[in-house]
Amino acid sequence: DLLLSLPQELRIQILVNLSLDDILSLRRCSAAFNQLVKSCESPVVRHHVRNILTDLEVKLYPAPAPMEADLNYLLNLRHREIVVRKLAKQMCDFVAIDVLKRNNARRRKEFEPRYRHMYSKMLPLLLILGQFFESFRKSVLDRCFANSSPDKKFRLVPGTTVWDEQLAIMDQYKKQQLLDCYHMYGFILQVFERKLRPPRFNQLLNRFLPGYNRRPASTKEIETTLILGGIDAVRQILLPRTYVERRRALSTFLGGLDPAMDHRWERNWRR
Amino acid sequence: MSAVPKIQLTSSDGAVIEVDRPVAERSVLIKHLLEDLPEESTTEAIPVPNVNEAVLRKVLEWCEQHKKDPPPSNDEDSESRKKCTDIDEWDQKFMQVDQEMLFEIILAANYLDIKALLDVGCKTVANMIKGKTPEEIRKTFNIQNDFTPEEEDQIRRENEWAEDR
Repeated sequence: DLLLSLPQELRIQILVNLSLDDILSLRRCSAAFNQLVKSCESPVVRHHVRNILTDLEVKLYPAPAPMEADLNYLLNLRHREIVVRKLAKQMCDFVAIDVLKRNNARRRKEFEPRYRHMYSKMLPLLLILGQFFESFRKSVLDRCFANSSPDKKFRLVPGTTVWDEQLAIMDQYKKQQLLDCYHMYGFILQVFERKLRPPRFNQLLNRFLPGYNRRPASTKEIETTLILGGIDAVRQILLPRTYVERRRALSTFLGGLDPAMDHRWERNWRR
Repeated sequence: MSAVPKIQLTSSDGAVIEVDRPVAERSVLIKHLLEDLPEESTTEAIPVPNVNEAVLRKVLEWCEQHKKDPPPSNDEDSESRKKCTDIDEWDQKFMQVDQEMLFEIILAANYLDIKALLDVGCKTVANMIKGKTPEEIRKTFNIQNDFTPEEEDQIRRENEWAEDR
């Protein structure tokens, strides 16, 4: 095999010319190619950190030490990037369709430049918020699991130091970004609540559908989703087109965390 | 005015090739070798034991074309080089050879220490992979999928995490 016969430093030189997607395809080819990718992981990660990832990404998620650097670092970042892009699109669609009623193709097209502007502004803010929720979730969970015993009913313990924990996380962000992030956060919350509130019309008909819940999602439910699920859970719950389906998605998510409802609850918590 | 000085190289299979000294000096290895040799002995053929005649001629053809290029910058990874993934037209044509030759050229460029050629070679190989599905890559390099179904499934799942579905 020609590619495999090359010395290590030349294989690395070839791999750093490939995108992450290409590397993922390459490692699916054969066991030997998978091994080849594995042996180059650390230099590939270093190359991406230096040349491909954005400054913000590297700042929020510092690169692992060279000895521990593997593709998972890049895969996780890519996953976050995808979540952020999808959520940004959902938020912009909400503005375009729900708020501004740009319902038909012509009105959508007129709105396109501002849509794109809004979208690109949201991406870094959502990345920061995503990291915030990830970090906060981790510190909350550490505390919860430290305080729980097998027989005690497990619940989200609102610690006395919540505010300090949040401040500690926020300290790593640039001051100018904080206000924008706060606005973004408020906006997400608003959209989320709105989408989990029963629509005013059509109630009579919908009421008889399975899973229909006349009560809007409670603050506690929304809080739990944000803290434990982060922006990815928000994105997934917002995906369905109808209120009934979204409400059901919320119940499924929350149910998965309840020891009485799901035997995998502990795994779901930790995930 | 003297003519361009010439030197001779001997390939691994014993062929002697005469070449302009500046052309051969695209190879850092040969350049350093010539610098270390006393003036009068540069008339002797320099052995290049790792490269056969066909490959050496091909490499020298590249050196001839690129003899006027500015010398490569020395810093570890010059940004400009890494960022541009496109290959200039002449080089693209030059690299239209069978795979065996391509890899021989890469190895020769590495041995002779010709950074720019090595770079073009690696990019050419990378381009053979870019944008292809695993099945297409297997075909390109003529390899078999030897994963067990479980192994393949595991990698597929790991990949999926980072794919836009």
